[in-house]
Amino acid sequence: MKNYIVSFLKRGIVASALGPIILAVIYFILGQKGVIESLAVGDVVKGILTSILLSFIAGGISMIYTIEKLPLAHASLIQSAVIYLDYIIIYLYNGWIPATARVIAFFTVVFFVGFFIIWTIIFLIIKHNVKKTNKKLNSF
Amino acid sequence: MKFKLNIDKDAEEITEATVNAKSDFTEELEYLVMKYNRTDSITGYTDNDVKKLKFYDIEYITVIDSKTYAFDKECNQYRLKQRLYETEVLLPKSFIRINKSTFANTIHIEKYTLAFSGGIDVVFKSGSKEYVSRRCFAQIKKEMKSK
Repeated sequence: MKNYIVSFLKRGIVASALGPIILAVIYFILGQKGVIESLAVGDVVKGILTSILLSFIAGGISMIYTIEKLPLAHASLIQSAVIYLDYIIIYLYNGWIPATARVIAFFTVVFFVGFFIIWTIIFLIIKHNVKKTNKKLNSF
Repeated sequence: MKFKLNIDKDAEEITEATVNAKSDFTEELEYLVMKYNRTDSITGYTDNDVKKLKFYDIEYITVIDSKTYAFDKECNQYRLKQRLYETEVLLPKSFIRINKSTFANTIHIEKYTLAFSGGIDVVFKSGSKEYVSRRCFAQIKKEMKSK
């Protein structure tokens, strides 16, 4: 358990630098397009801190794949659920998406449809690999 | 395949074969050399018995509650005195690591199966099953490809 926590922290710390960088790029693009012209100090600080937290959690949770006994589907589902909650809570807190049932429902559907598509692709790849390995095994 | 036999009283005795790929022949040859050297078996313990277990007859060796066990093709379970890493160096090449705490004998592997959860199991000819970790399956796949 201790190893998993250490792994979570290490991965989280490495990834956390990405949050403010992505935030800066988004602010830059929005500034260039004229969507925002100025930002309050409080909003910038809140944006930086929450984007660090967002990328820390998103990066840290990738340690779930190091748990050998956890099947890939379960690991992917846990990672997706954590990332989903991570994103939606921080997006809503910062007001990056409106807190309406319609928007949240749309965000949720897109997220889980995306997960289902990715998982199906991964499953088919593993299935193909298992079939190939069995074929090779039987050829001996 | 050619057969070469060099008899030299002063040289170190070594059995060497050059082949294009691993096969039943290379496995049998290794077991034969191990048998000749009397390193083809390991001592297994049950509650009231001690048995010399031939590596050839062992399906898999695994760790349960920090203790090392060998399972033979009749699904009998034997306790080994060695730790897993100590056993690893004794094992012939037909044994592969299938997860952090298990070595499987490829001679007894029937097939690999996939669950919808993405988990992969190895099914032995006796019917018993053991899970294969993602990392080990990638390695098995790589080794199979090179054969």
